[in-house]
Amino acid sequence: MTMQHQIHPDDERLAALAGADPDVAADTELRAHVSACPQCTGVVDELTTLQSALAELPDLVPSRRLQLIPPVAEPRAKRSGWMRRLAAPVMAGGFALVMVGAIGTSGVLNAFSNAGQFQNVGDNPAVGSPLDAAGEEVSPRSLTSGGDTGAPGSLSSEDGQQTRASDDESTPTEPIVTNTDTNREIFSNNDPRLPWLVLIGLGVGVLLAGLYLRFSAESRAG
Amino acid sequence: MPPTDPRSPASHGTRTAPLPDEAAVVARAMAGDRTAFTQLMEHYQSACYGLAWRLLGDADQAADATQDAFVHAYDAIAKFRGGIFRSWMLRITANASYDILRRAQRRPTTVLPDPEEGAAELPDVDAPNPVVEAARAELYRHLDVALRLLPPDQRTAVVLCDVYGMDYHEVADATSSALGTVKSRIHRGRLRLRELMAEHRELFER
Repeated sequence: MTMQHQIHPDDERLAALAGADPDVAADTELRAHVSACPQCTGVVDELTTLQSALAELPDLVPSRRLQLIPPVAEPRAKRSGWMRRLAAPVMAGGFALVMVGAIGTSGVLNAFSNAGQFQNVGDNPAVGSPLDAAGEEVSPRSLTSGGDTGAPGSLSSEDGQQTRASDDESTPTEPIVTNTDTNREIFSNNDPRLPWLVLIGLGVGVLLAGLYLRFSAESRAG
Repeated sequence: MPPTDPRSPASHGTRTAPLPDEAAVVARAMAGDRTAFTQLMEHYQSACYGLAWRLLGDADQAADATQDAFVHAYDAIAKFRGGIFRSWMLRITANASYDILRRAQRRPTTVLPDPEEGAAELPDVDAPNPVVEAARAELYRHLDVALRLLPPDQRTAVVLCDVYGMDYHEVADATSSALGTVKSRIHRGRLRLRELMAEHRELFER
């Protein structure tokens, strides 16, 4: 009856002993107590029996049919991967081209607007590009005076009207309202907006290519 | 038999023994033989699913975890270093299940374990001793129910250690926990199970 006056070990230590935890199994004092204490022996025995039952728990049949092996990665799937990765930078590049083209076009139009000139600059070879031959920007003002350039077809602004000097000197002042003139004149080869418009067109093309890559990759993956 | 409740497994099986020519099958699978890999997964799917179900307590999540484990195993089998293939698969399944468990703990669902829903099975009348088999099935059912009532950390540790035979270090590795923490969870889990099974003591004696 002396065991009733002893302090029983903590239950966690008994559980460790039942589980053959090496840290606890080496505790001779604990083992001596358990072997002499029916209460603690009962706890350890129950835990040991419980562990044996747990170790016998059977496997379980899956509730649904499982795919035992992953499908082979198809080349098409790989392709869709790089297409998807490429789509965003291509679209960004296309967007950037469109923006640069739009800003450039706007700049050219503003330049002519400030100078009171709107259209019909295409016939002036000196203004074929927003950049001159030296790579410097051509001032819109230099485009406004036919006398400055001395070239046939240069611009004039007499009487505030938009006119075009004719190649035929006999009819030099025949007015042509270029704001409403034909597209042939607006988009002639020497139009300073042409490079920017080409840039916009190129950007739209690249943007569309990016969209194609994006949706094509999605449809392949899906 | 198809499951009637998504949280219940289809049925109990038996403990999966190694394949007779397992080393050769594993070697073929490591060399890229998909048929050999399929054979291994087919053989061990009940063991993996059983572990996942006991860790997660949900049939659908257990199937997902088992499926994830198969994919991980397929990716990693070339690096299998030998040893017991069943233990290797169970470790992968434990990791896959623990990942799902951690995600579920971050986003708790409203599904709570129901102690009355277990894996009850009718006794196999063809078994040598139907009474003994029925009592054993009853014990297994109550044990599974009791396991589901443990806190997730304790349940994971007890299942990995006591049901699937992992040592403390393997459990600590699978759960990314400290060794002392794992021991404490196992010991407390066993004590809690003992309390939960107290009213079914007679089942242990048959």
